[in-house]
Amino acid sequence: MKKLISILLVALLLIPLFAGCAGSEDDDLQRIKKNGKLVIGITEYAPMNYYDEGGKLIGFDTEYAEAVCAKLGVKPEFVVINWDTKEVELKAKNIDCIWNGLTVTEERKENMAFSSPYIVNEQVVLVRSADLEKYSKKESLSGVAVVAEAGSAGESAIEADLPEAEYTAVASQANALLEVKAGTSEAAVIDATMAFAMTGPGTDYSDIVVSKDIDLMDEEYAIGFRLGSALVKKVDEITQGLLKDGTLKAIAEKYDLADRLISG
Amino acid sequence: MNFLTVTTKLLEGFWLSCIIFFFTLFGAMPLGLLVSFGSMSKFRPLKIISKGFVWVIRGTPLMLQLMIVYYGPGLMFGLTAFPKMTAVLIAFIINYTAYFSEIYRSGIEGVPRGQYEAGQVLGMTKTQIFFKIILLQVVKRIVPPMSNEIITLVKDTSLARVIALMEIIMVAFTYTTKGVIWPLFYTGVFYLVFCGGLTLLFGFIERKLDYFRV
Repeated sequence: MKKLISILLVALLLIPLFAGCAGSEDDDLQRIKKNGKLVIGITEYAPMNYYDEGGKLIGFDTEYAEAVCAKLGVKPEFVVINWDTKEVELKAKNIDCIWNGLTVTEERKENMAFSSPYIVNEQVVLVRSADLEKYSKKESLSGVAVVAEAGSAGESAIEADLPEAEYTAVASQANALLEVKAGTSEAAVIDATMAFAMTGPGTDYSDIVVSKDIDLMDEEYAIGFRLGSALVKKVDEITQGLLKDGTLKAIAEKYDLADRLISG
Repeated sequence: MNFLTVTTKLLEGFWLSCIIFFFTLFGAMPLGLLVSFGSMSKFRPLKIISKGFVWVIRGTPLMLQLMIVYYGPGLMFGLTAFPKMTAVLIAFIINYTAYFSEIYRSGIEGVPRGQYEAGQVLGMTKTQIFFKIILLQVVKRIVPPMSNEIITLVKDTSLARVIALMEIIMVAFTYTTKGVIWPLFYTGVFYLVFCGGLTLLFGFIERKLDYFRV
């Protein structure tokens, strides 16, 4: 009896761990229309989604999402999520999509349905400016301590282009830069968009620079929806329209992303 | 980054940490007493359930419990999730109930048998004995372990960020993504000041209870 009850209690607590596999086939498009809102999972990340001085959420993805939602006839609701558990958030229907500079990877395709890519994303290597000459080529990083966010595009780039490096995964892209700054690692691989927003004058990372001659593979940003979601097609159609009438181009120019926009 | 704006923003985050702290305390303190009664009960099923509860909750990380409460309803039953703060409070109260119940149990079982017997000799009922003789002695005994646990709770509130509740450390991390590091370490000051206040308070309570020995 004693055993039975304790086993039962443990089982009860463990169910959620395994229940993740059960997917449902609700029509997302109808669901959001009924709710009147599209719940969008974001993290604070310039230039995609971030707050201006007045505390208003701005950024390329913010305005892009607002434009799409206006056409869909629903309200966008931006929810800050933990990037580590974004797939769980999506599956648990706490959010309807991830729209936050999400890089398309083969691994992620197993867990979510991607829209057409809209921004070319580049991974860059960052080093302390004093070390720039030392680490100017891919070969110079072999055996050197390099960090990137666990499960990020930077990690895939290291696996593909810097297999000789001494790679360690860290919790976030911001932590990766912190490692370089603190001297616990020599180089970090992160998104170019983030690298330019985080380094440079006025930041604590002004002594950290992009090693420009190390060219890593390009990747693309897209919106992540639940697998089988009817929203993918609908949002792609709307995006086509926004590209044609120049709306998206104007937003991209505002955030200095015009040359990265995928237009067609 | 202006020092004052950062401080204001961090204070907003710390306010949420404080809400978690106080509500957890107010929820878990009485619930812990109930569970400790269960653990000491002579009615076996109740005892087994209470002990099992304490084992499961103390045996799994609070971080995991937070995720189960927040993502569980959606993943298992397709229900709408609790609002973030509600989910955090549920997980924290359940977790701290388990820890507090064991502290209460140690306090109650530590009271010598003779104290009960003395009450019986005076013709008091069980309830009277508990509230008039035992409880105050229990309170005195559990102040040091409780203060320990309560100070741990202050810092555990930072775990709420695993489900992206904007507590102070998460606010600080939003600055690191903008290339500013110092707010992250500055958060330590807030915790230190708060725990400092608590330490003084517990010292005061201990002194107040010093007029009798157990």
